Amino acid sequence: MKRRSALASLGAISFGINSNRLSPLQEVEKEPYQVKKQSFDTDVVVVGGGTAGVVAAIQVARAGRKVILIENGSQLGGTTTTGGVAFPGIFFAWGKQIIGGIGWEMVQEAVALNDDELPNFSVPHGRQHWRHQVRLNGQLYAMLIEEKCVEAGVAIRYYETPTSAVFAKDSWKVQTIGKGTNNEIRCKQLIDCTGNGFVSSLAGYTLLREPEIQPGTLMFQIGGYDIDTLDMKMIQSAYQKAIERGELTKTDFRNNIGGLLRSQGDNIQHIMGADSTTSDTHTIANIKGRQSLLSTLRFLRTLPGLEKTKIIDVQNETAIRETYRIDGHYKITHEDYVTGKMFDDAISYSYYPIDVHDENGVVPDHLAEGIVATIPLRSLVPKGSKNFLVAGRCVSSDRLANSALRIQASCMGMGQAAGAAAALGCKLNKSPLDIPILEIHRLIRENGGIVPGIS
Amino acid sequence: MRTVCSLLATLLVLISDFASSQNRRFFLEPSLSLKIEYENQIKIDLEAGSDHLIQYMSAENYPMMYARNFRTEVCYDNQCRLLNVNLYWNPTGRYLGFELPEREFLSKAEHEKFTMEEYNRLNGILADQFSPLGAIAYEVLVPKRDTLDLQVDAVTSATAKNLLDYVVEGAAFTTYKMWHFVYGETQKKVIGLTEEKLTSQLILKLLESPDSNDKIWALNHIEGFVEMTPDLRERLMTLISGKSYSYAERAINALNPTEMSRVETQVLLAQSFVNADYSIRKLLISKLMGVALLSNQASDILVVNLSTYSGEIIRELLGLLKKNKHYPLTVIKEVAPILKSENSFISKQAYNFLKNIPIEDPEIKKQVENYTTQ
Repeated sequence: MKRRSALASLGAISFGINSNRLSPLQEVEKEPYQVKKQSFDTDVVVVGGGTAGVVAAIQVARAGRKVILIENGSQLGGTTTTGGVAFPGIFFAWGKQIIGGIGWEMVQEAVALNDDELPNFSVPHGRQHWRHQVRLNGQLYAMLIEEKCVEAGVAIRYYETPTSAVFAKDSWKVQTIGKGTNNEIRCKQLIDCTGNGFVSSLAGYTLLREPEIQPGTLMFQIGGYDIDTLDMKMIQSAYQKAIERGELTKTDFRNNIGGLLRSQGDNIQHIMGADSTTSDTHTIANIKGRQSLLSTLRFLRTLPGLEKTKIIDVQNETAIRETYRIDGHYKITHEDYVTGKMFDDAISYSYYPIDVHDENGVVPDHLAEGIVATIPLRSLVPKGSKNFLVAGRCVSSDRLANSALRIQASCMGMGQAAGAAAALGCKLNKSPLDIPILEIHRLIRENGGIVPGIS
Repeated sequence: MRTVCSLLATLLVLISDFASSQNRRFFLEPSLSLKIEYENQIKIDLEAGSDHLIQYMSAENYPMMYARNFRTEVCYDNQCRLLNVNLYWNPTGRYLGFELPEREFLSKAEHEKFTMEEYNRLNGILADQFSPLGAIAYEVLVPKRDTLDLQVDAVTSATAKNLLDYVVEGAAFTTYKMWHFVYGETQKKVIGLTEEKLTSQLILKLLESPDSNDKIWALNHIEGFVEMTPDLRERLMTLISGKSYSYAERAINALNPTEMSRVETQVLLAQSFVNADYSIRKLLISKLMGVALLSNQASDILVVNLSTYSGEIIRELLGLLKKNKHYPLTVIKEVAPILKSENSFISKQAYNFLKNIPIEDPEIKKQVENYTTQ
């Protein structure tokens, strides 16, 4: 059915309802779900429209290269937007901006458009790093970054996911599947921003992961009670009994129902083992997150003062902290991170406490005064790869370093660097590690990014 | 002999008390360092009734600091202690210090007196406006057996164990109570009283404060509070061109539409733009985009060396010119070479700008036509 006739039919339905008449006979659509096979040629493919992927794609496009951004969801922003962790810090360390460029540009504009106020970055945050977090309106941010992609010329493909990635004759062939689409995309450089090393795995590169991973969190907001009037001792006691009876899971809210009530949700729930790598694992994480919230809500509503507890907002999916990491040409260690090791091929700073969530909660281990970690280009390149980069939390690193590197601001820094390297790779017909590092630094800086030791 | 010992012990206590009475004022660095000339006693209405604030004034009629006496019993678990303390605020509402009236002292559990170290620690704790004490109920603070293992996420607050770092050991309730006095209703009254006395000169003085939060407070109290003066404008421009992102960002925000309509201000901002980093350039363009009519002088400064800027900055600058319909030959001559940029994103920006404006220069006209056929 042609678009115009389809719209006409919709109009007829609408008219029929309004005028209380039967609608005319509808046109019958034949084969509405026929899968369309398409082929595309582009310079760069970025897989994953999350925190790192959006920045990488915009950087490629602003460097004058054609880029396709594949996102399996319905909007951009990933953890910041769909995951609801809309505080993508930290961009400033010890009074100085350490992550700028495209990532900060997006954050800065979202803050201005929402009349939000930035924290005073000239005062160190001490042991309370959240003082330097910038709270965003997640949905506004999602729209803004989409607009930026479109303005830059990024070809966004929502609802698609890759099924294979093969490198041959100096170019990548990426097969993707989506709603009614089955595409073959040829590109010169491929960037994996899935956060899980998913494309790296498809391409045959080694991934690393420990038996234990950090829990995920379903972000939500609850209300309908007055915290000051609650008998917290009674509530905590009832909570412990519900756990003992097996009605609630101790780790879901860290054995701290008072904390949940005081924070009214936010970044408080823990879903152990939450993993977004595949549809199977992410489905489980989502269901567990929602079941945990529902059972806790039902429990709370049985308690005095909490009878009217209600859900104000819930994100669409459980946000994930940790899955797989690539085995890169360099693995950033905890020692590297906490000593602020300056790498010769550093392409971005990273600044956050070592922040491993476990079943008991989290106790951030802050960096010593003046320390800012750096990320080498080699940690974005899987061993044995050609024309391939990753950006985001699957950066090659040990688990402790990764607990800090995974933070969104750092992912943005990596995204811009990966985008710059990929764009130059196209221009120079080289693999990322063969590109002179000064060229990558120059392009990052030209686009507002901050390069360790230079700007 | 026993009597003599007892007398000596009493004497030692008295000396100790006398010595400590000399050190019972614990102050931070003040916002302003001018001489106090007089004071005003101001009645304030609070939720629990009315009370008085002392407003200390300089000869220039600047509020220098505020004080309020708190005399209350602090009780928890049926144990009560008298708290008699004077709290001080800077004119910005920032905590300045506390003072114990003569012969008063603070005590911990079992009525053990604070040591000097503990007084100093309390002073530091009270200075922390973002302390987790502000977001928690007192029950969470006290390390009772059933709440000892409480854990709260790092983003929203700290763990209960960590909360013990935010109180004086053995005096959790006193610390908690005093912190809430400092950041409670009185602080809002202090700020309100200073706002009534704000002038451009006072803002300038506060911008000299050694405390960064005072500077941010002052920058947030320009628009809608005081008139712009040449001195203040100059100070803002210095901050915009300075190294601190936070000061620059707040200073840009402090310029209201009236100020932004001035050609001189636009030119100064355009000059700042030339040497600014990427983040500040973006803020400046956004600010100039909000101007109803951008002066030609400012536009001309912005487009000098246009081709040296990043693609995104070029895109935004050209958008600014387009909005203001400013297309003199000098601008067109700056834009035309960009058509040849090897970066297609950048050349496209130049083409999109040039294709819809009247161009008389035949060579540039030809370049535009050629671009379309590429």
